[in-house]
Amino acid sequence: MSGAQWTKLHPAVRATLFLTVCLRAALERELLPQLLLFCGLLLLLLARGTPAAHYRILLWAHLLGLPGTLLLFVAVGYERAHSCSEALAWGLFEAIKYTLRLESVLLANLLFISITSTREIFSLFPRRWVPASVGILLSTAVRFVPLSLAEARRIYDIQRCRGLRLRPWAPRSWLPIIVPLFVSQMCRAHDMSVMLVVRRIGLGTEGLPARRLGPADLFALALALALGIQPLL
Amino acid sequence: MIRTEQLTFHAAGAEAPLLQDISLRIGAGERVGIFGPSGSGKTTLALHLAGLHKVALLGRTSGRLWLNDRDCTREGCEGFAGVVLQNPEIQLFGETVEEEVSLSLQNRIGDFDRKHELDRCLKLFELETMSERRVATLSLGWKQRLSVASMLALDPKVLLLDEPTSYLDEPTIDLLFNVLAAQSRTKGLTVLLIEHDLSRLMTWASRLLGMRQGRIVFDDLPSAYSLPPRLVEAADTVGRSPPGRRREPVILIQQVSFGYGGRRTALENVSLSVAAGEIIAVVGPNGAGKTTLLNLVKGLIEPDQGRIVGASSSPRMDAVGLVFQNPESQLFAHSVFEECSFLPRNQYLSPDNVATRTRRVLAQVGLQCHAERFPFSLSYGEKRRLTLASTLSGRSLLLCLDEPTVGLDGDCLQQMAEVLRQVSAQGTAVLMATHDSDFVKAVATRVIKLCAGRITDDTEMRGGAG
Repeated sequence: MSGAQWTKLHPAVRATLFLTVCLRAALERELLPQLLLFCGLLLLLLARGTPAAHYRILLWAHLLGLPGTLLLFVAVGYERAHSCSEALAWGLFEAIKYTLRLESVLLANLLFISITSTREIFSLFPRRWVPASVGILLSTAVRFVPLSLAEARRIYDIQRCRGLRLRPWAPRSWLPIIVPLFVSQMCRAHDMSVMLVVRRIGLGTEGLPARRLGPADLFALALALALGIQPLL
Repeated sequence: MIRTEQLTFHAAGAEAPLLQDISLRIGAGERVGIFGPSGSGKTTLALHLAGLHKVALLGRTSGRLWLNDRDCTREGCEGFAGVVLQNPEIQLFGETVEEEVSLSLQNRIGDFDRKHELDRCLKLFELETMSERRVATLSLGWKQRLSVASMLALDPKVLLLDEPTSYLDEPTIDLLFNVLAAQSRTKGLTVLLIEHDLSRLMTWASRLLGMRQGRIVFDDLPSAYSLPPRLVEAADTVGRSPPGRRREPVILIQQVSFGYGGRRTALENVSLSVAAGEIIAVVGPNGAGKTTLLNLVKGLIEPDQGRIVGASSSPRMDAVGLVFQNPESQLFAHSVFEECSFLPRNQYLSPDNVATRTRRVLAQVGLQCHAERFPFSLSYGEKRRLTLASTLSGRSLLLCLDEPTVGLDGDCLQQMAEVLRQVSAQGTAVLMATHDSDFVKAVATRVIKLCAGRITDDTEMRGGAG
């Protein structure tokens, strides 16, 4: 499913679907369904076009932690069976299941965040708890982070063209990046705040237009129900 | 609709006023073109006329300002006018194109058919086919279209545009000017447009306001204004390098292809030879691959296919200088001299050599008398010249410039053109990506047209150096 197809689903349905996937990942005791769930989520992320850099570090972090997890589960297995071979087999099986479970939950969250804007997430809350303007302001603040990172990268390239060599142990060498970044971000923040005023985006604004559930939403809800009920049965 | 009497503005901490005794009246449906050199007070005046002086400026306003017959001198009048700034990145808050325009419609006052208005605003700038597109994936040109469309969706009575064409190619600029003229005619929209391109402004505006040192020095119909000699005419009197024998290439680009993230092809099979002393203008629409070409030549990115070969033995990072668009993205030192000497110091030249080079280059760009000044206190035009000087102070055989004329007024443009001619005469090749056709005609010896990542035209200019 591409990003555009996902956004056709109602945000509440998307949230239900991914909560159910997380629940299923947490409750599933068999290795094969766990593995299928993990692969499915990974494929969905790839199909969505999420940059690999966003989840590669997540996968590597858990793969690197696998030996430690394995050791822990083998120790628990030895406590249960008092046999090295049995402890190793049980520990390996449980460690893989545990890692897959954790990875699946994280991938599901990553997928949900990548297809649901901050404002859509806030639209799920009742208006009296969270005003729509808070969602807009937070989504603007969230957008500021990647913009700042891109600006830092651009300034680094500019200064690299001027022969900058960064030395981590010499804070002075970072000045050609820090000073222009600070100045440009202050200007950007000022201009953005002016534009928020001009666009009349502030307290008292309406939220996102209300959406009705469509056939795709109903299908997704049925899928979520099936996913949730099956392990309970 | 807008009336001022003796309007004066002092910025906080400054002694000289940025605006002095401005008295004028602007009626509904007027198309006002505001021009003048950098730092003459155009933006400060426009922000007052848009009722945003209390939000956007820090200082003291005196005199009188009435907006819609309401005295707004002291408290401002936010929401009176729509504003479009130079950089579209900071003006967009939605996730998708449709959501961006819808956001304006949600905040619009009065009764209207939301669906109809959404379609109308999208259609104005040919955005209707990309309503589902994520804003982050649009090029700067499309983002600027979207920011104007979003502003028009608010249905303002006054629209202020501060140099909105800086990042736009010719067809998009034409579209923008046509839409603004049509809105003014049909909906009575008052448009205040700050622009350096006077020839375009004269054909579009119904009234021109010329500013200098915080005062209005011209306020009349465009027909009453006599255009100063255009850059290209001035250049003809100076004369370009006479045609001569083709010199040795300083850089060879051979069958280069490049794509971002291995997907979208930004450049495809580009081959180019740049000779010493040539001034090559790379032109083309937004997203044609101009900036990518400069980044490849400089060595900031590496080609997916093909190769780029420098004639000298020095690394390409040293042999090629690259000047970026926004000067504020690189200034950091406490003096102009320090800023300018940053590159030669990093090239491990001797202190005497660094000082000599820096002084020579500062003199070349006319900043020698500002050597001890704090770089951030310079005017925009001076900052642009400083960034050029700080690149020229290195050992570059090829100077690359990305949109060197953005934000420059007539005088600064003349200075920029003069410096490039001097640099070329000294044997340094120049490769510049630009949308400014007048500047191209004035200084370029060769024009390369890029379209969708391919070279579609390569023309030697009359009197070129090649």
